[in-house]
Amino acid sequence: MTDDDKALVRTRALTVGYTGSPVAKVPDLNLAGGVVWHVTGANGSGKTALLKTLAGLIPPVTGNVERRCNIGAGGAIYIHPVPYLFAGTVIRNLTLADPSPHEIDRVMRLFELEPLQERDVRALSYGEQRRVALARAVASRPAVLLVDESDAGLDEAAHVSWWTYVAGAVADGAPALVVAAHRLLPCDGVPIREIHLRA
Amino acid sequence: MLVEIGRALTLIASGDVEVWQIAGTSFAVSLSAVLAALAIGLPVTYRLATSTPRTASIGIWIAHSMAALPTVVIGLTLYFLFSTDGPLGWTRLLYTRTAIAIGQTALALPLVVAVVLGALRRLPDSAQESLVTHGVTGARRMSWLLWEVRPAIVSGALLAFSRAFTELGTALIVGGNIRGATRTLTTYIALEYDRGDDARAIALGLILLSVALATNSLMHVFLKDR
Repeated sequence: MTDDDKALVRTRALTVGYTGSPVAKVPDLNLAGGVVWHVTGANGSGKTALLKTLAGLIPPVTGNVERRCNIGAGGAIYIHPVPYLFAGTVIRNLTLADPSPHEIDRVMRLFELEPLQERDVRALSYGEQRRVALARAVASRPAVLLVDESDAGLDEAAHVSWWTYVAGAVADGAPALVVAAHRLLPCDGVPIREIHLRA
Repeated sequence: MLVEIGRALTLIASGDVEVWQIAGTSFAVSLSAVLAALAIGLPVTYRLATSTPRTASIGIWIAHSMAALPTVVIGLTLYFLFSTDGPLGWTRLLYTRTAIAIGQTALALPLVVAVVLGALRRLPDSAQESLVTHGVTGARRMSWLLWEVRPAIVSGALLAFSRAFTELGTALIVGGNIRGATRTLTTYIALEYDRGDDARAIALGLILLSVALATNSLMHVFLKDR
């Protein structure tokens, strides 16, 4: 089976940007499961625009994006650099995509959120909020997980810890993982492919 | 003047049945109007908030313009609609509590829309995008977003209640101030003033003022807590 056959999301001649203004040209991609795609580039090079386009949140400026998965639960899910958590507890946020109680238990164990489940999300640290956002997305068993600025605001220890969760998520559900990050990814044993963007 | 106020306070303390019945009518009618404004206004506001920025701006402009409409203009419009020869004359709603509630709904609706729409537009884009990317659609998406702005919903409702409870024009024109049926605090005050019963008018005014102040205090306390 070729990459093209396995691809969950395929892009051709894609240019991404906002409200019709191009920001970056993107090499043709075949995003398949079980692989981490590392998107690099300077600030303003179009990393966020690419991830949001792949997630179906904004339309391509030119070219096309073919998806063999939904947008949303079970399909392509985008995680913001500063995740938006809805008012209330951690457990309420985990029910956002209406996953089964079994899935909620699974991600709470995976992301060590059990002690925090009844905490108000506004009282959580930034790192904890990122864990809740990732758990919330993983709970709906995404086919493609798009994580923006995955290293933003995290110290070295939290960064490594974050990537332990990410590697666990890949091993657990094997989604195609696309991450925009400035730093190298500490993901031993996980296949990584680079996508470098220039504005 | 002090003598009149003293008599007014005695009247309130004596528990005059008619006065309290009228206060109850005012409260029930205004509460119905606010509930109707919320039922209509929240889905409309959600639609506006999730439409294009241009549509949302037009929506806010319309809501602000409607909020500034004089109550007598709304009252007159409804009078012509509900009068026997009017297009809605067959409903026979003129001079009923329902007619007053409809008029007050028209007053309350733009306030609810303006306050809630402003709050929804202040939410970061990531709130709406998080719902889209997690596949939350339809009524579930609306309920998650509206829950985020519940302080604005409560303050919009309280503001709308104050406006409805204290208005005179609509209640007088489409209600008709019928004793035991459509008489409200404001129409009763106007009547007693015309009759020259200052003590009774002041007593009614004090009740009206107390409810309006209590509503606004409640709103202040609620918003301060958040």
